[in-house]
Amino acid sequence: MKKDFRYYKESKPFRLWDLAVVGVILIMVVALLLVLFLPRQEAAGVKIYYKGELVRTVAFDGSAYPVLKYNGVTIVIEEGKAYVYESTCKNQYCVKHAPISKSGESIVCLPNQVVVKIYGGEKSEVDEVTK
Amino acid sequence: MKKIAAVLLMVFIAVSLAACAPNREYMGFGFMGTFYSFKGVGGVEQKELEKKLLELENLVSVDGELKKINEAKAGEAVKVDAATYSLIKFAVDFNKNSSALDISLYPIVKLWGFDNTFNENSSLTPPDDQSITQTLTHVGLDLFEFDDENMTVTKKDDLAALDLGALGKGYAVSYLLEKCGFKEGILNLGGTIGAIGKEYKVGIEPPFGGESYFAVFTLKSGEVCSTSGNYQRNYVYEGTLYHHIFGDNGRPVENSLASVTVVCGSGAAADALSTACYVLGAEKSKELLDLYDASAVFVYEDKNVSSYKLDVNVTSKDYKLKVEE
Repeated sequence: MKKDFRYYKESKPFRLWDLAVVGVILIMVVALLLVLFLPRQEAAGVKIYYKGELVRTVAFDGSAYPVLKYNGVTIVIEEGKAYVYESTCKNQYCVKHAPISKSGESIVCLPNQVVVKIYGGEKSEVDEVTK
Repeated sequence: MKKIAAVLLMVFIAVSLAACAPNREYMGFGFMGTFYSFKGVGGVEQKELEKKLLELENLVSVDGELKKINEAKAGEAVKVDAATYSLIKFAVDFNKNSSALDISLYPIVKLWGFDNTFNENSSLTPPDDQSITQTLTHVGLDLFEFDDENMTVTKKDDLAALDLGALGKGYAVSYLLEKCGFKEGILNLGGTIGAIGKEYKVGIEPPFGGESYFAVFTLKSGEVCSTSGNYQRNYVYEGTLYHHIFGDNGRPVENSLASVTVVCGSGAAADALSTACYVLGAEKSKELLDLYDASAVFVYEDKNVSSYKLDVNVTSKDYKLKVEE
């Protein structure tokens, strides 16, 4: 034990193990920064929520898209966009809503509690819409 | 050498801590009769936010604290929660500045079917003149006495009733942004929106459908925006549109406005102002908006838009903007 203690006390700053520890920390910092700040390469698509819960995700991948129906709301997905084709609600706001195509845009059917939302791709100019 | 290692370790810890403020994206239905969404950083978990939403709903809704007042007999001093009491007093003071917002109109709101039994899917028939005249005798803030010390409300009329629907969402947005510890974010409660920590771009929904928004403005940290209009909470009976914003004659306000959006530092004020300004029209709203240090955008049925002290960018070519002096 005594010998070990003296060894550390007399040792010079740059030892192989010091460098290794610094190296590991450096790598961790860089890796963390990369994870945090590199733009995520997220594919674009449509997310459908019912009563606030995500019930379906459909990616824009050029395939034949399904026509989806949740609680009386019929959603049509085409390449890069989505819209409500028909709905059992009386006000029909969701049906009158123009197709959505930009990240963050959404169509809300309040009476039927269904939300259609675009994720990924080109960002919408606005963060929210007041109504 | 040790110093370098220490600095690196500090950087590592700092970055780790920053990563601890997680990105939030919440959404849900059924709170305060509408949907909500939050996008931002830090603050409470979704469950905690929804718990607070339920608490708030009880404070402002006619099924919560207000029920005690509304079901009370004349002469009975009713004690309500301090938050509910202060919001009622805010609305009473607001009414002194502008009679265009009257929370005692609730018997009329109910008569027309726009209370919380209203459902976008229901079929309604407007009431006859006699019942409107009759119901109006139970309307007026002079039918209430307020005791600030004991926080009690006493009615002079059995059927007089209060409704904070015109202020509740705005109040809730301000409250939540203040109490949930969000580092930054944008909270949308049924179209009433508040920002904290940084500025956000907010679109205004076109009252006539179509695109997602027809105009865009910047909502700064600490500001709340609220929109009122005839295009929501309404019904058509024999070709006539009846909506939920009432004048002192007990009938839906008739004017050339489709919607009004107000931006203000106080959520309750923004909400109250959007209703009052819809009733008043652009010209008569200016003084009131100045009083609350607020700004507004007025949208007319003919798709003309006028803005008062709000820098708004009209993105749709169908709408024409005029800046009010």
